[in-house]
Amino acid sequence: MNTIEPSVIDDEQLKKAINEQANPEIADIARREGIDPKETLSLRLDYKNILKIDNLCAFENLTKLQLDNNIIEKIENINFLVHLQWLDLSFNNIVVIEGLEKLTKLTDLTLFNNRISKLEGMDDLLSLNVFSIGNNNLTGLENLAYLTKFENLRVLNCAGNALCKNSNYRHYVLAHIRGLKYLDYRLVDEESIAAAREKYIDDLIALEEEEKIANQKKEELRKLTELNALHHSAHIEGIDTLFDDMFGTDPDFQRLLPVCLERTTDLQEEYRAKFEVVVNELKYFALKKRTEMNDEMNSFNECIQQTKIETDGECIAMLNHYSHFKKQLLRILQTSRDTKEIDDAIKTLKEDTSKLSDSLMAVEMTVVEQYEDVIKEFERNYTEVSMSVTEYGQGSFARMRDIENEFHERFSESILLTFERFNKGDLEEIEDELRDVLSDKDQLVNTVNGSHDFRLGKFDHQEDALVSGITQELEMLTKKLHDDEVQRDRDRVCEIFTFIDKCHAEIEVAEENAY
Amino acid sequence: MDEPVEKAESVASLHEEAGGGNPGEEEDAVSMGSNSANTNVVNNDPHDSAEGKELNPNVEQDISKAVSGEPGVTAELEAEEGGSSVDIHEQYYIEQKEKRKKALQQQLLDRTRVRSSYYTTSRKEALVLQYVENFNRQYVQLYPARKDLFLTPANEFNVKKFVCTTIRPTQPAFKELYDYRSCAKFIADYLTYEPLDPPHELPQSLPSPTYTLKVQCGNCFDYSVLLVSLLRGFGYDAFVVSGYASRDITTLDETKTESDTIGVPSPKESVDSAPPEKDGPAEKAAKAAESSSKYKVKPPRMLHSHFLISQDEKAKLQAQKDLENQRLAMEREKARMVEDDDELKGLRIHAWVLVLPGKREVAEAFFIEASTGRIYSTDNDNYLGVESVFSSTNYWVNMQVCYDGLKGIHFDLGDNSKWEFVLLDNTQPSSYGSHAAGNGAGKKEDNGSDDEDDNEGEENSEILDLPPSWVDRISITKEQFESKCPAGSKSMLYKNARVETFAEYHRLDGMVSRYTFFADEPRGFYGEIREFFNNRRDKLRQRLRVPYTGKIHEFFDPGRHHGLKEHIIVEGKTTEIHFYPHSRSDGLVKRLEKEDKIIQYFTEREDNLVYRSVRYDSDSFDDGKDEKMILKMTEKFERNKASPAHEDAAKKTYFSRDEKIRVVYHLEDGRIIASYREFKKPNADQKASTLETPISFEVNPYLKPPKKQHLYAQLCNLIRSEQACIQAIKNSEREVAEILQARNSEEKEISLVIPVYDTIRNNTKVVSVEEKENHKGEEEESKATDLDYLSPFLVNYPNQYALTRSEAAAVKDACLKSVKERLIEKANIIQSRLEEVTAEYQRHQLSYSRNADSMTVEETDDYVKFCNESLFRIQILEKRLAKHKEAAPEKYIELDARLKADTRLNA
Repeated sequence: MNTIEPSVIDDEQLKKAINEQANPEIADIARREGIDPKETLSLRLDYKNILKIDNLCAFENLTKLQLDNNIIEKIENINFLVHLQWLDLSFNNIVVIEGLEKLTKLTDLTLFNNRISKLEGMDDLLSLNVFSIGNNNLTGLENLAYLTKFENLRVLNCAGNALCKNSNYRHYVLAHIRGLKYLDYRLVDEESIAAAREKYIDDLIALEEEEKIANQKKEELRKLTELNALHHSAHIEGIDTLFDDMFGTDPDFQRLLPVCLERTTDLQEEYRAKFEVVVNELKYFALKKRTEMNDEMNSFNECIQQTKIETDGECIAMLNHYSHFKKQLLRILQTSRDTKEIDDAIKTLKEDTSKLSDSLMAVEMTVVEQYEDVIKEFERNYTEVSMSVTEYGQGSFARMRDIENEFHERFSESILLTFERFNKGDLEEIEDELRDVLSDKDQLVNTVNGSHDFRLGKFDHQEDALVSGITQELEMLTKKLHDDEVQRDRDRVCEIFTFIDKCHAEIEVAEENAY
Repeated sequence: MDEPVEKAESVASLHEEAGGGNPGEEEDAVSMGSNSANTNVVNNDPHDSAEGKELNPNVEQDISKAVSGEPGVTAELEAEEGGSSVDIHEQYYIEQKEKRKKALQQQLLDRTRVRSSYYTTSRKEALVLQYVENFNRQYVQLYPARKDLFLTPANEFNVKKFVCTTIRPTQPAFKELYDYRSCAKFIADYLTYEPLDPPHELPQSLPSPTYTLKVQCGNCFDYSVLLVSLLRGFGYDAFVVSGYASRDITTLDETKTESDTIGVPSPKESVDSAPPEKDGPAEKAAKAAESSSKYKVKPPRMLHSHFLISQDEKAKLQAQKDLENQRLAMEREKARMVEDDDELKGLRIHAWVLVLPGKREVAEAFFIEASTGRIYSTDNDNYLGVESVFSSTNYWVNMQVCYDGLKGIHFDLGDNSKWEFVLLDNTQPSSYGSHAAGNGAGKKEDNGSDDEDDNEGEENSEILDLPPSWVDRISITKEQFESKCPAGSKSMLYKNARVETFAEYHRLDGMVSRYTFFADEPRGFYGEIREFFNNRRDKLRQRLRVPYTGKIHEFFDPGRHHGLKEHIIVEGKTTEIHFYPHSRSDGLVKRLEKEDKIIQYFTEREDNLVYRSVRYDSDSFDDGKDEKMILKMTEKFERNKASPAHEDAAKKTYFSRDEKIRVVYHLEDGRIIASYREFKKPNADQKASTLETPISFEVNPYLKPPKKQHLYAQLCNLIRSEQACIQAIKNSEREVAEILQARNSEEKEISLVIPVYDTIRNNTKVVSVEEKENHKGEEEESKATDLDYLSPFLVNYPNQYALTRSEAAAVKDACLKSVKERLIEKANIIQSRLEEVTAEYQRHQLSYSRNADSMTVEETDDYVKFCNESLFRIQILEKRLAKHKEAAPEKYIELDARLKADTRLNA
């Protein structure tokens, strides 16, 4: 054994391996023809003295990979095998679990007899079902808690690690890893699980609590993303936070805020109330129209589907009829000795074929026309709805601007009033920062105007998103509809022609044979 | 005369006035015969008895004709039937029927068997009879034109009884009879109908319902009285109606009604069921509009010729006209048939049952025809007049005129102007009570006879009460109930069918009913026979025979071996077998057999197989070979969603002779043409390397052509599946042979199963514990007597019962000696066994004591076990020996005593 050089996986080795494992029935042909690595689903490379995993890039569809009994030191170059379900790396010299992040479909992982001292790097292997980590250097019992997250884990082999000497080992594992069926080659019975859970009841309760909180958070996040997605589809994303954005992200306003805090807050609240009304109306309208558009889309699809089923049925009936006759006539050609009969048969066959071709094409032509009409009608309706949303949005934003202007006037008024009072010297005990702000009237006015402009800018941005979003969507949809239809048409015509060609070829062959 | 009678008399006279209105009108009624107070709506004068008698012979003829039905058709069908159906079962069955009939006839009137009330008249009854007689006298006087009332017919013992007392409300213990429909059906089935003779006269006697039930036959009055007794027992407000009905009803002639009107499934449906019309383009468009209201494709423009359309329309119109004419002609024909005059129309006396609303959630009054069990509305055309109505409580005489059948006749018996009651003491039928009383009062005022109310009030205080029914409780035994029909069978003739009903277990082949549908050639129907079975061990439920095509279709209940469901045989050859797919592992649904083809259909299989057919080489039949040459086999599969459509085989055809296999794939989405591949099978000696490129058609020309290795792998799989297919076909053949064989032997020896819960027929008698004990004792005794301990010693003596003294002594000695020997022998056996065991025990002990130090733990254990066992056995044997020693002398002495007592040795 020692005489063999440590090696890296190379092409020759791979070729040999896949040839060896080919189905004996087809092995001969396969070897001559060559086996496509892309079609290989499993690969066995054991006892090859491999030191470094490499050159597997061609085998992207592998579901099973056996690399046991080699001298591999590092898990590498297998991260692209995303279909992998079974990975055997036992009896190697691996020290760290790594490079498995993309293998999310992995259900069976064997790292038996290696030099691993810590469980890590497996966060993404959530479908893991069988895991073997026996004969390694695991020491800390707490490290096993890492396996808690694998909900599908049923078989675990941990035997032969230092931590197994710990008297609590079995109980700990059974208590923490739920659903385990086999542990260290043995069937797990209900009683021992119950006993183990009893022992670690405190830990478990704490864990459950944590889990609950995490789940709650997850749920909230999910809801939020759903809502956002909905708004996004209606092109009014971020409209809920628009108001807060307007003031929160505006530095000018933040500076002006302390000038007359109370008054400004009042104004802002008033502003918010009016603003909310408009926003809610817009939101309601947009979402309503969105569902309308979806309905429209659905009924359109339904109609297309229905027509398709009908016409296809018609065509299939025609084809079946034709094939039936063709079969009969071909049989005549085969068996008959009478030249006249053969001639007749060939003639009718040819006629039938061209007739079939014609009628199929005719059906296709009608379908194209029909679809065009329906698509046009659909587009018209869809555009109408879209336009109504756009118009309504523009109106809403105009109202918002009015409200904004009103707010701006009153705000600047109050600012100026404060400024005058400051100039008069009424306000003595104020902070230095404020003093700076109030020192220059022009600058003050500019800041106020700047803040106003900033808010208007926000409106513009939101409006733009709405209008352009709708336009884009419309364009995309129209394009997609047309493209799909063209593609469908091409496919069908191509189908018909291929078939007719084939029929002609068949007839010719039959004709030749007949004479 | 007794006081009550006098009173009754006066009451009766009062009634007349109340009912009849003023005398002048009555005179009119008498003179005009059928016009006013007379219920008979007749064309010819009802009381012309001479004419009635003259008519009689004709009527008889009519009846006989009606009963025999349509002889032509029946005979025809029976002739066809004859060849196959008069088998041993049929014969046996007919014989049995005859026997039963005789037995029934013997069970005639026997006074010792019935209550005395049947053949005597109590004082109370006499009173009532007198009263009723009186009523009748007045009635006859007042309405001489009217038919006699059915008041006091004689019963089966020729004793006059008031009809109301003949009704005996009884509730039998069968929940199946609780509903009026099933109850009426039971009565109709259970009895044999006898038409009235002569049909225009009231019957001379009215037997008790118990008698009717026993003899299982009766006329319409017997039927109705029995049915009303039961219905009243079940709480219905039921009455016997005495009146007039059409000929069909009175003679129980159902030959004019279609069988499907009485719930017999008509075979026409299956015959007439033409495929539903295909959707025209217009309908299609309508459908499209329905499915999606908003969008629809415009239907392609149709180019029509107006001329052709108009021509078509003309033709259609013409056809319609023809059809109409035909229909009219047929209707005329029909009308003619119906009209065929019945000279006795309106004179035929009949009795049926009226059920009034109010009780048992009956919402509307209706009639039950007791002879058929059918329900009619109260204005049905078949009933032409009502004379009187009676129940167990009272008797009402109809005072309404039946101009137009029963249309407009009211059945609110409380209305005194419409119904004249016989007995005063009865409450009027409830629901109409208050309303009817008001009504009656109003009428009376109109008639200007105000003083009646007071009189009635006076009389009510001392009314004549009805004596209890003289009839026993009607008892129906379970056997009777289950036998359903008279002598277990009943046959009814309808216009298009004959229906025969048999009781369960009545026939040896388990048949419970048979419908024979007559041929109706103009409608393309050539007759068919349906037989229904129950309790068959072979689970046969129904057999349908079509003599015209020689088809036999058998239906089976689930639970048979092989999951057999239906079996269709045409002219002796099995053509179709259906299965219960869920009771089979291969999901087979049905199997069709044609001349040279066998088709099997499957469902819910894991490999998605739905169809498999084999075509045999028809030439090979001629060669007379056992093995039929398979020409080709086809398998069809459902779409398996797991693999892409162009790799999922939809149809595999194995051409066995041409050594070819063709695979047609499923349609891809949006495609109309399927891809296919045709492989040539490699010869046995050829190596895989010479794979021929298969002929193939790919619907998608852009798809990369498959590699050779894959094609070859596919071919290998196909060859394997072909082998599997052949195997499956062979298995199926074998299975069918098995089924046919099983069917044959089953038909030869039909056996019926008896459910465990059937207490009548289950022979496994449950013997009570006591009886069992007795039985046991008896058995033992008999054993004791059987065992003659002296016989071995007596054989040598020719005269066993007359032994000489010396002989007797010798026998005795021999006997005692042998017993002694036996006892000693037994003791010896026990002793020797004991010694044996002890010896072995000692040997083991010895060896143990010798090797005790070197023995392993297990060996020691074994030793201990052995010791325990041996000791136990020794103990037992010792005990037995002791006991034997104790018992032996006793036994010897006992035998000695017995021998001394033995009579044979006493000489």
